[in-house]
Amino acid sequence: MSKHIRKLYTRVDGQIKSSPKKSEPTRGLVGKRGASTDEGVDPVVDYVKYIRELRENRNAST
Amino acid sequence: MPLLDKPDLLDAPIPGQSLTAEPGNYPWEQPPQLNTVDEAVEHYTPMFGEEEILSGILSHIEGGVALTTMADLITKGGVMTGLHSIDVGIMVAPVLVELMISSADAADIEYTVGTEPKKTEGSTKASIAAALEEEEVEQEPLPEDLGMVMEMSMEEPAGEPAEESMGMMARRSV
Repeated sequence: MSKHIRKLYTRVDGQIKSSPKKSEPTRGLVGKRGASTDEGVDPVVDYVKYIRELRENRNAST
Repeated sequence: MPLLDKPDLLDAPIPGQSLTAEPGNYPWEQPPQLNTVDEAVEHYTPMFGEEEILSGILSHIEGGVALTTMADLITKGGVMTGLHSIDVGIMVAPVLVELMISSADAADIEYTVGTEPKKTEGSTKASIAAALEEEEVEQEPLPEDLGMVMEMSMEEPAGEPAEESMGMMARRSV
């Protein structure tokens, strides 16, 4: 299971690093109801992105 | 431990024996309590605010345990207690890793995620073979001309011994 976790984490990490900071308009993907962006399509990516933003803000403030 | 050293094959369960037990005896055979990643994140996130749990996690991180391994242990515990399925456990693991990175950063602790490339330099067969080859190249016989020069310099009779320097820092032979 650890191997799968490492794989998934690497994939999520790569996805976040390659994607722009702001969410993009959806391209046929189903996100949150009524959402016009890709937010909510992949909750794991959203959570990781959110936690990273919080951490960066905290580091920037200190 | 004799069980781990040499398992008694004749005492092992026969194929299909697990199907003879009453289903639903174990927590993981029950329907999971948390069905989505959101629910699992909501369950695990407050854990990082509890001092007792967080100090345990941080001590393990400080000890060199990779964060993905820690996430694996936490989610496996959740599966064993029937909290969520394995699928949800794997999905929520990157979020746990990220939370642990934040906690370790806040506590100024060095950590390893577990996705770093392994440092195998000096231990692989290929590197050992390369080192041996390098050594062989160094020990290759010299060309004839060079060999002659070397022999001549070796055969040179020892003339007058060089004058020993008498300075304070000069090395003296015993």
